[in-house]
Amino acid sequence: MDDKQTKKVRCRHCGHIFEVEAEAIHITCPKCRKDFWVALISLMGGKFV
Amino acid sequence: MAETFPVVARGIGRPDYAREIDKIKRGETYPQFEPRPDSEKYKIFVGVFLPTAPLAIGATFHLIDIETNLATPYDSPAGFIADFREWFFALDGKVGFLMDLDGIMQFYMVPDSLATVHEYEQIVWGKSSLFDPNALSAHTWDFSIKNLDDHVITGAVHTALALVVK
Repeated sequence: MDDKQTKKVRCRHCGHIFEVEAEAIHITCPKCRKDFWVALISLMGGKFV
Repeated sequence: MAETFPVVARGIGRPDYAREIDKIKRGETYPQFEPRPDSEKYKIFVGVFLPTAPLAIGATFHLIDIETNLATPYDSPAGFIADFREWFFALDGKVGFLMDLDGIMQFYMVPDSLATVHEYEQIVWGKSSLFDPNALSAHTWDFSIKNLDDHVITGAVHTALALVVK
């Protein structure tokens, strides 16, 4: 079973909301295929918040 | 064994910091900027209103989590104490800012127009530990601004929650 943490993100271009790996910062939207970046600052004790 | 040398104190007048280092004032760390718990991290929420996409008259905008691009409300998880500790406004018009915690506690302010406002608070009442000291449950934080002016507004606003593992 894949127990990797995930997070929901919102595409900066088309607004599509989808899940990616929690550590992902450079993301490609599966709907519009465009790339965008999100910040990653909240890893605490191995848990993303 | 390391060789030692006598050091001659040079300089004129007082204070002579070579002998009275306890009186040094420059570089002093103010209490609010002293080191905080190692586990402390920040959740940052922003709103950016470019001239090409300003905040419309009467419009309400929910600040966006920069880690996900999702609009608030944001749920701070159980097991963490969350403080509403920092806020920043640089806008060219009058807005009303609302922080809503769990739908029961609210913080509302109308920052100065045409001014840059940046606050980092040591004493905060928007603090989940005040009513959930053991961080047993998640808490919902909503940050929004509303255009109260008679023209569109450009500029930026951000806030930060400080999260600490309980």
